[in-house]
Parts: sequence; C-alpha cells; structure tokens
Amino acid sequence: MGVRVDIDGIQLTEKEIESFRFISEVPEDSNARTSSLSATVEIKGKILTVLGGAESTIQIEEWSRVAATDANCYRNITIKTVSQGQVVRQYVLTKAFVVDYIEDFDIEQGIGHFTLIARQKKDNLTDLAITGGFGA
Amino acid sequence: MGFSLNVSGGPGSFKLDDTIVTSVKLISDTPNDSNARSNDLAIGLQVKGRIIAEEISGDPTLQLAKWSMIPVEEATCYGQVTVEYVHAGTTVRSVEMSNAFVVSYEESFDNETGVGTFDLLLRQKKDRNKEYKCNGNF
Repeated sequence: MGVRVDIDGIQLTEKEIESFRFISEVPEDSNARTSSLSATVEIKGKILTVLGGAESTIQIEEWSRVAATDANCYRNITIKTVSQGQVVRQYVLTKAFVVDYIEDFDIEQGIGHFTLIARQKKDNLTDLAITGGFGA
Repeated sequence: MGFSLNVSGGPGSFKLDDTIVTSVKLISDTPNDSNARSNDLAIGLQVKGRIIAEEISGDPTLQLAKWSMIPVEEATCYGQVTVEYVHAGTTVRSVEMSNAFVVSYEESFDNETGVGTFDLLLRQKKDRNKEYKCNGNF
C-alpha cells in the first residue's frame, strides 16, 4: 500500500514513505468520554540522496523549527493511502503543527530516515476530514 | 558516505571524521502533550561513534569527555558545532549550532571489542534557537 503526503506543496510519495499511523486518543485514565481528544499522525520514511536535484524532507526539517509566533507553523497536510487504484483513506488536516521531527543517519545504510509527528490544532479538531473508498 | 563533526569555541577545537562517527540523529522536540504549536522547542543532535586509541595524534573523543565535565559557571561550556553528512558527492545535511551544550555523554567499553563507543547528546541553547542552521542538497 502506497502512502502519499502533501504538506502545503511539500510532496512525499511511496518512494520515500515507509509507514504511516493515524492516532486518535483521549487520556488513558479517563472514566468517561472526554473532550480532550487529539488527532496525531506519524509519518516515517527515507531521506534519499538525490543526485543533482532537491529532496523535499529538508523542507519538513525547516518547518519543524518554525517558531510558534509565526503563522507558518500551522500547515495543511493531506495524506492518502492508495492501493489497487483506490484511495483507501484520505486524511485532511487543516491546522497541523509539528510535535517532533527526527532525522537519523548512520554508516551502515546509504540513506537517512525521518520521523514526523504532527497534530491537528485542538480547537480545529472538527475540521479534520477522513474519507476513503474513491478512485485514486 | 561520511560524517564530519567539528567543534570550536569554548571546549577547544577538534574534529571527528567518518572513521569515528557512526551515526547522527537530528531532533526537533516539542512537548508531546501539547494541544497547539509550542514555543518550548528543543533542537538537539545525537552523535554516536567509536573511541579509537591513537598513539601519536591523540584521541579527539577525549576532548568530548572533557567538554561534558565543564561546569556551567565556566564560559567555555558552550561551543560551536558543525556536522556534515556527505553521500555520493552531495552534502545531504550541513548543520551549524552556534551555542551548543552537552546534555549527556556516555562512554562504553567491554572485553569483546577492541574499541569503545560513545553517545553524545548536544542541544542548542534555547534562546539562540534562531541561530541554528540546517542546509542540504548541495
């Protein structure tokens, strides 16, 4: 299954993305349904060395350091999981911010790896749209 | 593919090249329980590598161990750090930290391998976060 991500023009495709998780959670010690709901996405993938071109994960690195005082720290993320010509799921986050961003490089592999954890701004939670089952 | 780590300023000038450094991790970290983008951003760098005994030229990782023990009262506890990761003639990442300090430093030795290993965690001084630079793809 391929995962395609668009973060306000930063495009990542199945070539780079290895795994994707969508996490919806309320506090685990809650006795009843709580309004403290959060929607988090975790995207893991490769940092490919592009010969004579630009790879786009560096733009996510730059986003991860945008200060909270800057409106640009919130971005739109569209994530599609595609299989057999069908979009199985499409998640649209309208005001997403970076919780953590990690890049990993070592001497054993020729590529690096990244982990992006982003979350929908809590007061805009109802803007998050999850759809699926349409043609890619 | 190779790494190079250059340290200058307070802790002294020394260089760790790709014979020493085995992995580098760049970390942008905000509190995980945050409902909105937080100003509490920690920009860190984790470097792992080997401690190789050098009879003549000296072992630069010794400088890391000394740096990690500098108390905060000394001005030399902050240093300038640059890290480059080069692969196939392309500089994939070039990181510059203007006010880096040691969060943790560990050295491990055992009776199986001929070299020791170290694990260094650095962080940019938080009020100097804007001076942190990360470039790539050139």
